[in-house]
Amino acid sequence: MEYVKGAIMMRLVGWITISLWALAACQGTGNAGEAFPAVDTANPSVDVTGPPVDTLRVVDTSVPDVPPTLCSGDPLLHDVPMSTDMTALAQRFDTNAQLLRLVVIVSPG
Amino acid sequence: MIELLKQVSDPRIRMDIVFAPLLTGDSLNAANNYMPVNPDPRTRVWWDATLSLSHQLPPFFLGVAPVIWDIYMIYDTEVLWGVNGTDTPGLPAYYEHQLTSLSQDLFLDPDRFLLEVVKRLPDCDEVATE
Repeated sequence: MEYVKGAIMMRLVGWITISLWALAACQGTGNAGEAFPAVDTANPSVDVTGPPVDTLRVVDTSVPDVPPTLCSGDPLLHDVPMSTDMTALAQRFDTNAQLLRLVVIVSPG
Repeated sequence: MIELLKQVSDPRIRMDIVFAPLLTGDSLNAANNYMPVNPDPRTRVWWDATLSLSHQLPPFFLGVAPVIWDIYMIYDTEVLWGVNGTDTPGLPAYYEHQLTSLSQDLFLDPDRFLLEVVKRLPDCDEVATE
């Protein structure tokens, strides 16, 4: 009888040990290489939503196919921000003097 | 007007869209909201905060008000910036507008404006008809 009780106790201790180990593995400790690193709930300032939208903007920095002298200063890029530098507009106008230039003045309203 | 460039793929065109604070509520933020989502690579967009062009261009046009806007101008090749001591390229080779103070014969007609652009591009036959 004592032998049976001892065997049962040993199995219980074994199952409890395995369960605790598995639980710890699922929660993780934040160490590199773990499949599910722990979330740092003590530091809510960490932004887990990803980078700001602006940093997602794709800026084409490739060199245009046309010779630089043809459109130097030209964006020839997508998603070029608006410029407030009217001197740059004058430079772009003169740089492209061999081209047909359309200038439009409009209200954004 | 950005639609015009979709109809003419000719690389010999550059377009500059100048937004300016002409009406109540006009601001750089408002202008940014009107930025083309997918601007044509031949186009650049500007914000003329001091209305420099709108104030200096009118003398080149007959009978226009002191401030000019809603105007669509074509400048031929070789024209340079800084005409008659102004900080402008001066009178365009052709223009259309949406003003009451200028000749209504030149009120904006996108189809007509497109033809004026194409006829200034030798051998240009790339007018898309989508």
